[in-house]
Amino acid sequence: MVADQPLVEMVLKGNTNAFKTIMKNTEGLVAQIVFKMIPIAEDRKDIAQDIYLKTFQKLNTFQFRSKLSTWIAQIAYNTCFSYLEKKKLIFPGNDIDDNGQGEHLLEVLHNKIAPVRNETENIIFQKELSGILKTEIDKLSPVYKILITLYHNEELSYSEIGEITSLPEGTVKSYLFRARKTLRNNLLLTYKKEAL
Amino acid sequence: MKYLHLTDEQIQQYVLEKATCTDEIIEHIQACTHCKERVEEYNLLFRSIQQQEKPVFDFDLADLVLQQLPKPQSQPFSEMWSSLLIIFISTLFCCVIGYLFGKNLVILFGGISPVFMGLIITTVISIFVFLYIDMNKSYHAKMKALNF
Repeated sequence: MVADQPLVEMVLKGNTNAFKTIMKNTEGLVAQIVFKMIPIAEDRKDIAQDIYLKTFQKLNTFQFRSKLSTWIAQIAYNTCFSYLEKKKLIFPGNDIDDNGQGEHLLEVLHNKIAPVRNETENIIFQKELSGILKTEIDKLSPVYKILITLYHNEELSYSEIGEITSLPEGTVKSYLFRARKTLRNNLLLTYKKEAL
Repeated sequence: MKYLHLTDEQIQQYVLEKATCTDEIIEHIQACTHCKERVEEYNLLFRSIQQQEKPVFDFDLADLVLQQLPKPQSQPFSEMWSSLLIIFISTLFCCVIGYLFGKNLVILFGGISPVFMGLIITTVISIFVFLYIDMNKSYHAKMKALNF
């Protein structure tokens, strides 16, 4: 893969094919951010285009202090966030069930899920889990969703995630912890409902 | 050994950053069935998240964006030539005026005192400077409005 600097220089000299390469290299990450943050499917097309047009326009200001992909992800995050603000779709993270009731239910669940399963049961369980997980991830707030995705799917570091979301590293860690806990609790509760 | 179960934060730390865990945490998990199950749940959760299908745009994004990018043009070059042409025509015009009406102009402005002449020239230059600044400002404002 061509390094960031030569690619950016080529684009600045008017080579649109180099920009296409940049797009191909970062489209997966941008898609993750757009899909996780934008709930309305029809709007994703415009937003994705907007992200790359902004990237092209601002490319001459890129200082190479971070990876190009991180910088583009930051533009993607900010564009999606502005969209959510404009549409008034920002809402706080799903509150974690801290009143102890959730923990009690989970205690009961341990006994239901824990028994040893055979191979076939495991495969079915994995498929079921995958479906439930997708639904549960979708229920999380956009910020929690994006943090989970960037850390677990894109395997970015806390500092890179902090750069993208403009959140301090400590806040990223704390939000991630809460997001995972919420996800685990919701997942177990949903699984219990499905099992009943 | 701890008799209280580990917190969720400690369990997550054990699953994701085992190297940073204290011996106390590691020993507790090895001995406690309940916490071991929670570790397993988190392991399963993280594995499942990683196995989730990656979203893909159902359209050719690169194609759509490239169509909208400004095409490389020789605009600066042609702009430079048109500026030079305007300067040349203006200079030529002034020379022709000077050649044709030079004598009359000397008679016309000859009677004016140098102080008054200086005042007129300063006023004219000031007006041009203000007009230029104003035009420049409005140009930049319009360019900003046209930006994405």
